[in-house]
Amino acid sequence: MNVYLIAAIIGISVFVVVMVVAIVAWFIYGKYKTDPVSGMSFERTGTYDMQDVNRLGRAGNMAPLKGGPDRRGRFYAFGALVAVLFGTLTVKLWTMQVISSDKYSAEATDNMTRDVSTPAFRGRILDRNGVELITNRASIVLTCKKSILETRGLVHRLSLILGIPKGVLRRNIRNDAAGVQADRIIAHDVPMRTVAFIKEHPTLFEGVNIEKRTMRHYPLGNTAAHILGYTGPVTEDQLKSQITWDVVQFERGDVVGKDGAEYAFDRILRGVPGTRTYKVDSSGLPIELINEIEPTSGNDVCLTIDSKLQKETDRILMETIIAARSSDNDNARAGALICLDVKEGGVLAASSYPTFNPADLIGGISSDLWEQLTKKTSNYPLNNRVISGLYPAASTFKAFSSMAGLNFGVIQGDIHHECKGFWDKYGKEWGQRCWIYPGGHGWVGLEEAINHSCDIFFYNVGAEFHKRWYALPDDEKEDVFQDYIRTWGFGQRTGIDLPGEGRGRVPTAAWKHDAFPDTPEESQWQPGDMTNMCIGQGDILVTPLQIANGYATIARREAVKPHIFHKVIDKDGNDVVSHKLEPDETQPEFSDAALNRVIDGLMRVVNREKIFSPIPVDIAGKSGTAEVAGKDPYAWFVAYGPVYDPEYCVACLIEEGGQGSSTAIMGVLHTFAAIYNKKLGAIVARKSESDGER
Amino acid sequence: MPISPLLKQQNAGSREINAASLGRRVLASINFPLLFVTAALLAYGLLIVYSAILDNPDYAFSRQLTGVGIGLVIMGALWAFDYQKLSTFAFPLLIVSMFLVLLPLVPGLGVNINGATNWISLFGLRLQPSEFAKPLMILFGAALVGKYRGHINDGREYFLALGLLMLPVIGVMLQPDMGTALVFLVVAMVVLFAGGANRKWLILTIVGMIAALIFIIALDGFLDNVLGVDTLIKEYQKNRILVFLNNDIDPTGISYNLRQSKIAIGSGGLFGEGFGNASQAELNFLPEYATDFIFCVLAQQFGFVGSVALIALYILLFFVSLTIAFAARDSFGTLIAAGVTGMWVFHVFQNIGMTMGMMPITGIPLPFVSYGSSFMLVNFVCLGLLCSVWAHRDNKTRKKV
Repeated sequence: MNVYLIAAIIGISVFVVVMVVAIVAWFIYGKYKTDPVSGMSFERTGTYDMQDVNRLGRAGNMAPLKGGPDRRGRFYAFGALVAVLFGTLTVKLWTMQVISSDKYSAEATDNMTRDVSTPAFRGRILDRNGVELITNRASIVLTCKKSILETRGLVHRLSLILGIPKGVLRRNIRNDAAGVQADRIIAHDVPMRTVAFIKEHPTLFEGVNIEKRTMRHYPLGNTAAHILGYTGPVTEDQLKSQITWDVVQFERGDVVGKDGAEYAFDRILRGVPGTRTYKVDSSGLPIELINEIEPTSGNDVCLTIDSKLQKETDRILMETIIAARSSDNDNARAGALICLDVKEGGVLAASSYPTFNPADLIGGISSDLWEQLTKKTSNYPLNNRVISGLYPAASTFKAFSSMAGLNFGVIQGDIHHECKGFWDKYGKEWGQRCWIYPGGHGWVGLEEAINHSCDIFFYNVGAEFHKRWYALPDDEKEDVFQDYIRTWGFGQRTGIDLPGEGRGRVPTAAWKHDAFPDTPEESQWQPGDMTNMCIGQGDILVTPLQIANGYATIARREAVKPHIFHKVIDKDGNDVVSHKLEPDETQPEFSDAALNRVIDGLMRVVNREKIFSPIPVDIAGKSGTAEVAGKDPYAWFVAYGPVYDPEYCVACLIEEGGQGSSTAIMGVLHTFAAIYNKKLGAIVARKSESDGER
Repeated sequence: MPISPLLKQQNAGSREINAASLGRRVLASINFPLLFVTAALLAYGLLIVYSAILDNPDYAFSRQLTGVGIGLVIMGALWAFDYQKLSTFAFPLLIVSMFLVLLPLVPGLGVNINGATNWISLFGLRLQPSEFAKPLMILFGAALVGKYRGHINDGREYFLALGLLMLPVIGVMLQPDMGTALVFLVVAMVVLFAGGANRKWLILTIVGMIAALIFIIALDGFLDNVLGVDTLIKEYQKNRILVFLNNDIDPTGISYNLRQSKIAIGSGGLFGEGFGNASQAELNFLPEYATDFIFCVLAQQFGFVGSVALIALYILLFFVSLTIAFAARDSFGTLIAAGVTGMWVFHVFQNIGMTMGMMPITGIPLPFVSYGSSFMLVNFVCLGLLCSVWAHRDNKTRKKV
């Protein structure tokens, strides 16, 4: 500004000096009233009369203009034209500089300033006890433009100092997951020594930038990977659809939650980005920082997860699957294990196997890794089987069939059915076997039917439902059984606060009609569909979460929406929002007496299984072995306890894990052991005491 | 060689030689209003140029000052010189102007800048010869038309004069520099108008020019389509017309310059952003801000008040030069003053008008303000001619009487 000031002073003083000199000269001159040369008064200059001169007459162009009034008129006309032209200019200036000046000023400001948003610190994700599950850490990263691949020898030099193979570096640089135009990350967590070396040799590493970035950090590794999820750059679709988001807005390049809790609680975690306003020139280069609004960090989110138990369930699930595989279930490679807090409905632990390392996915997934994680032989580790895996419920479903039977009077009093191992109520060709065939359970009542998982008993229940409400003309059929089953949380999302939950399926005649439009014989609802559904087979599909949720509802005698959100903590550690326990709007209908009978049956199951004896509380549960076409049976076990003051409900599913009572049961057992701090030793699949009990 | 004919006259005369009478004579040969106005304009202009080019190493304020310095010397010389000596040199003046106008077309000498070959490169110096042809054009026109003593009624005489005056105009069009050609055309028409050409011929000329313009546009469209090459009217010239017709036609493309220029002017407001706050120029949003768009720099810094002050100074300048036209001792001098005034009026109106979208964009600088020594010198030559006309307004014949 000093230079401008000097210039202004120079300009003004030159002007003033010239004016003063001119005025002084004018003053001196003004004393002479008449022109000393022409003898004419100076004041007459403006009205110098050419006609005076004209009279003198001269030859050729030596003579003054002739013409008098006419030519004088032309000068006046010219003057008038000038007046009009410059009057127009002045009016136009007035409209631009006075009337619509604000508009232009805004445009000028808009021209010379650019707002750059500064990312806010993302909130942490904690477990119910405040243990960090995801946090932030600073990392020194090397970034570059993709074009540095063309610099000869640069990748080689980087490979040497970083100790990373050239192929990996090239793949990192080609990785456009963060956006095609974005800087590519060559390497994370570069040691200070390497950074110093690169700084000392700028010519060798031209185009390589050293940046400090905040990275998501998973202190517990891949524990709870599926629940926690991961972050990544915002996608074009999200940018386009953000109009529907009312509060927080995305910007290109923002980091957002992609899956799991990171996705579900993104708006709490993200915080509000700050804004830096720069003065820029016409090429967009920043000249100076004009204004800065500090970003507001996101709040921390506590999940209902108990990280200690979660670590255990992750391990237990993996070991259970390995144990299943080593006991003749060669195809057992995947499974799910969930532990619900019965009182609150919170998820204490949820494990899905195979799993993945979420740290590999932050900042965008490379196509190589994506391929690796989604190919068939990988068993899809990204799938959270707990909430999105759909399986036949198998015998675990019998508890709900029982409730239905009791509620609608299908199972009345001490009704018994005879099990001969084979059931041919609908004719020999439609005959159905009990799992115990050849053989039979004999005459069984409800509790023993649950205990021994007698299929024939439940076929009879199904047949009764069919007879009463389905063996009718089409328009009089009623989905009484299915509608009741839905009130226990099946065939719809439980509404857990995690993305990607499966809906499951409770088949009805109408569904079947629509599901097979091209094969009329298959689209017909058969009595066998109903009897199959009663033992959890056929077209019914459930998620492990739905099963655990259903048993938790039995345990607490009330339906509560399962959830993972515990509370929000602000920067200063104050609780901002906590989860409120609210019973579900739709509650299953039942009598306490009916429920007690089912619970009695479930307790008999566990009591028969002596292996639960180390657990210091009463447990009620049920095994299941799901038949899946073309695959080995899927193993289920679900249990809750303590029975008289329920706290925990654990469900375990092993894909192609064989008998539920020999493999899946171990996952549940060891989870309870972990809860009650009992050491049981290594997990080994057992030969069931009542061999093949389902 | 005496510095002024006035002094010579004094020596030859019988009057007593004394300092007071000498001083009076010298003072009488100076037109003070002209001096005030140009001094003010110049100071204002230098201030604006200084603020515009301060941080830009491509321009040098000293060059502008050098232009002013040389200009002052030339002006002084012309002041002492009796313009009437040139009155019989109409054809030599035409030949010299034609030479200057056609000089850039000489292969190896011309430099093509922005599509027009109007610069020459001589011994490392870059000059615009057509600029120097402007005062010659004025002198030529005044000498040619002046001899009709205010009345051209004969059609043959009129169209002969018009034809001769059109020669330099056509010469400039060949470069092709439409802006400068328009200046020449305006000077020719002003001289013809002030020189007393019959009204009907003038109207006929204007109608003919409009017809010729329409014909050229049509021919250009035809040739472009048939040949597939950009002939006659060039693409960028058509774009300028399009922008003139619709200021907001393509804000990031062809009308970018105009948009930035309007932003600069409009954002100045009533009193301006203050000295040194010409952000549009400082941050390079404005094109050619030291030369063609210098008005925007002024308008943003000093606002409506500063802009109107400049326009007022120009109007004063025109008024003073018209009084000089009236005061001239002969039609030659009157027409010189009229031609100079016409040229300035066109320059100022065209330049300020184009920055606001009222005129198409051309490379016409703002007199006494725009950066550039060629045109600065030309302005001082014109000033010198005005001074000469004023200083020699008396005539010996009067004394004889």
